[in-house]
Amino acid sequence: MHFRRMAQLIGQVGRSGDFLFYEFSLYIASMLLLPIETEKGCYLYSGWSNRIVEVSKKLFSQYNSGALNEQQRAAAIRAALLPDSAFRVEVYTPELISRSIAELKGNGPEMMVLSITEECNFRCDYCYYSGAYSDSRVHADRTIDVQTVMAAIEWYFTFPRKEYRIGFYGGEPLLRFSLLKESVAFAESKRAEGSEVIFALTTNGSLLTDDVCDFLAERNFETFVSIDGPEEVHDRYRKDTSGKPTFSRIINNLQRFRERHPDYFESKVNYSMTVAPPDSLEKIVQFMKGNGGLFGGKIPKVSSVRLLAGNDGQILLSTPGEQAFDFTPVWECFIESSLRGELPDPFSRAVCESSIIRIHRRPMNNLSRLVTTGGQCTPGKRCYVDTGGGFHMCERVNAFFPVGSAKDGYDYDRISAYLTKYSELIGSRCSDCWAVRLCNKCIPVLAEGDRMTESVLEALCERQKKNLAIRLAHYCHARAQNNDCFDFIIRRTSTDFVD
Amino acid sequence: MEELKEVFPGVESDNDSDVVLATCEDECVGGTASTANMRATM
Repeated sequence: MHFRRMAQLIGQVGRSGDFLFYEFSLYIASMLLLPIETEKGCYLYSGWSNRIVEVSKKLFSQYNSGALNEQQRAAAIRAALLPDSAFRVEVYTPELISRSIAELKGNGPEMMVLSITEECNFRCDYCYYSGAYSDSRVHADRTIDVQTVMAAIEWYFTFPRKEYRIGFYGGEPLLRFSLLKESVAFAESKRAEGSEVIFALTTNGSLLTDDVCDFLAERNFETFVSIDGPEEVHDRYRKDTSGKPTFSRIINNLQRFRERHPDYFESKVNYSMTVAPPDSLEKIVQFMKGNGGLFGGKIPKVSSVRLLAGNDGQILLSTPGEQAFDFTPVWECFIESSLRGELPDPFSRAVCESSIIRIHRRPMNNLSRLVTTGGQCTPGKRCYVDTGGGFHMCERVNAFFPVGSAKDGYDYDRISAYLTKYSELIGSRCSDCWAVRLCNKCIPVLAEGDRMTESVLEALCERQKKNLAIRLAHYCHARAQNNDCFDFIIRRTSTDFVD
Repeated sequence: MEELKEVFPGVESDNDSDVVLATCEDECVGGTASTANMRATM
């Protein structure tokens, strides 16, 4: 395949999988420019203007090999690749913090996620609560009490909204099905007339009895079931408390669920998939294709387990020296389908589409000042409620960054302080970085115990730049062959991905 | 001097906003596996 050939053709570049990226050369020319070379051409991407220009190999080499001379710099300015005056990047300015907090005070969270119980009937090796991660809780028999649920929901409903979203999370929330039902009944009884409550559930799928399925379908829940692929893939890490495999139970439950509520199943049931080496991605794609009834065109939420993540995730180390799961074949499938004008398969879309959307829909304006969140949402836009009634910015952060409680509501001063600290940490780091308009950072991934640290930020920046450089190269390579190849994304996003 | 030719423009229309807001909410759905994975992979 062409990506592999490219890797052989060009020597001095960094590599990820079989793709190319210029990891360090951009620092030589200008930190706001990323040089990209693919089999089809040479390009420069500007982090200032979001523009991409094509350059000759000769000019590319000049940009890539040394500091810009005056002539080259002037040409880059004329082409709107570099600003002709200072370019200021500010992450969460005091004004943006004030505005974000005011908005939060007015509208409250967009979604409340209730951790119904910390108990789980599974013991998946990679689970955040498995004990493999140093700063996370472990499985416990703690369950949220109904008064806390009611207090949290009543507080949520004090915000005037047309739409409230309440998710149930765990542990395995269906271990406390009666409490879940009680919570739903309470929310429905308390919602203001004219408002809507949308419920969601994240489940391992083992407790989907007929009663549960009927309830979820009747309330039109958005249901996410965790399944990793075919039996041999799923069962390696997803085991129950006695160490037994779980695939057959899940798949039987899903099939029964679908037969019982076909319309609901098709529109509202989706999947969370975790890929971890040595998974075969082809096996997962084939499994989804072979089970069209269950998967159809659903685009699952896919995440991958990284290897060699310090102490985190070492339990999954199976191939010493391997750095990360290689998604190159998935990207190849995605690009090749796009070039043929065909909709890529759902798994490829799950892995690649959001990255391509971010690049393809980038605004093309030149800025003298860029105010950015850096990727961090306003803490509190999502409200994760732990079993003790503590509020957190999401279920993906450890317990060291609370944002309030069911008893007292949000602590806006604390939220403001987190954003200020985040802004101070990022500092001027983004001002001369080509990735500033495409990258995403947030407190949950910067948190190390009770602090956000420079070292974690630095590692995160490097990972993000590396991944973004690869994605931009894929993007250029594909559009060089068919300039309209990603327009299907725009057509689809304009209709909210309705199939 | 070689001209730098712009290619592959983004499709979002120009706007005057100098503020880029977070978009990560779109991806904030998942199970306890993806919780761990997000922290490990992002």
